[in-house]
Amino acid sequence: MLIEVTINGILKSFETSPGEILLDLLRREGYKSVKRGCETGECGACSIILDGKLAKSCLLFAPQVSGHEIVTLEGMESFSKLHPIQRAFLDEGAVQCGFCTPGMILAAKTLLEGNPHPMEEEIKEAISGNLCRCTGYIKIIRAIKKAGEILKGNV
Amino acid sequence: MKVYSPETIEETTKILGKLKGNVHLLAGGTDLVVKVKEGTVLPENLINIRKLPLDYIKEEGNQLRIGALTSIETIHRSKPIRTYAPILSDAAGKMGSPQIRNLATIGGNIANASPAADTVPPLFVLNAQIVLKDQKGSRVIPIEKFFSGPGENVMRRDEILMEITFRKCAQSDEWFFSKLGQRKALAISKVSLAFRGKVNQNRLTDVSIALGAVAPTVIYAQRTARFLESKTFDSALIDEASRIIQEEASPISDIRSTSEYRRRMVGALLKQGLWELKAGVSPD
Repeated sequence: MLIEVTINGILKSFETSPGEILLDLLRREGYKSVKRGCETGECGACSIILDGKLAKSCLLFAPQVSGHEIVTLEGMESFSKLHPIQRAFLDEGAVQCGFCTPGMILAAKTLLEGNPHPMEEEIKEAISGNLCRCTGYIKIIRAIKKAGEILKGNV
Repeated sequence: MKVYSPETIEETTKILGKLKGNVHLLAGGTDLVVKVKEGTVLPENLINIRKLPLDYIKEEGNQLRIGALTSIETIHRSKPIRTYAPILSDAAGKMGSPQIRNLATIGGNIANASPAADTVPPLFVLNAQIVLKDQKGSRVIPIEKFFSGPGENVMRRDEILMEITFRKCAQSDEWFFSKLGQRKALAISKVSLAFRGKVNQNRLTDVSIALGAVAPTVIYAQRTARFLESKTFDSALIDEASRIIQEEASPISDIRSTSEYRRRMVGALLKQGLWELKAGVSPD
């Protein structure tokens, strides 16, 4: 079956099957920022933004997103320029092994778009569905705070 | 696996009435997709109901009506629910993670019939009604009659869960929802407890308590509720109630916890909640 889905602002069509998991489709189509972690909805490494909301691509059948809009980390850079959240993660050293980073950045994006002045508790809540196995949470939280400042124009 | 994506209720009930073999309804998919991948569920027919117009929260007089496809996150953030059923909003916010709450639906949480489902104890103390529909018509079932065992409910295979209705809570209602899991996010409850009641002149009235994950289905702790209404709201009452409630629970040991721990924690959650309630209503 053929599905049409807008990924990072570009309308794409893919051949898929009813039982294909969205995570598998995205990876085979080259969206490698979408990581294969637990595959049971626990770790958040496969997070995407679906119609403006954070979701886990391992919990969706590909045909379910037909006609919908997806953003992956690949869609955050523009003209090879890093998004301020990516910049903040780099500057704060919020990346250790890097496996959780795409999901963390997308979680930060959905948080900061609705709430540019998050409290620390709100940041923790926003990334509560994303596991960092290096346990580098302090720097991740610091990076998200800094990204908020950058996006507000305070830095 | 054959997949159907109906867009109307009529179309859906017609398909359900016609299909032979096993049928699964796909709403948010946060439980079903994992089960399909693990192979514990092998659907011959999958009906994707996400397009049905069942994503709503409506106020009608003193009633709230929630469409079965309303997401857990929407319920958590909904103003009418925060105002008129704050216990349900609170429990919704304690479920899963942001990603799960955005996809998961209240109808799915109920129909799945997990004894640990977090929206269900609040719906018990709200005396919620479940509206089911088939090709011929609808029927309404009180939530406490909806479950028949772990993962089992009274829905017939040709029925669809349409909506959940209940009376708005009064401003004077006191409530708490406590959940004990391995950690704050993404933990399935080892024990959960929903309490609703009123405090009048140092007496508790209209008490309703529901327990999750300590019996084959969510249950009312009726003996405890009646006991709490019988005497002055003091520390002796709290101690005795948290002993009685442990007798009402019949937990099992499983991967998440032991029956002994669950039983004690039911008492502890009640005790903690009642003490906080007491501190909140009587500053002395």
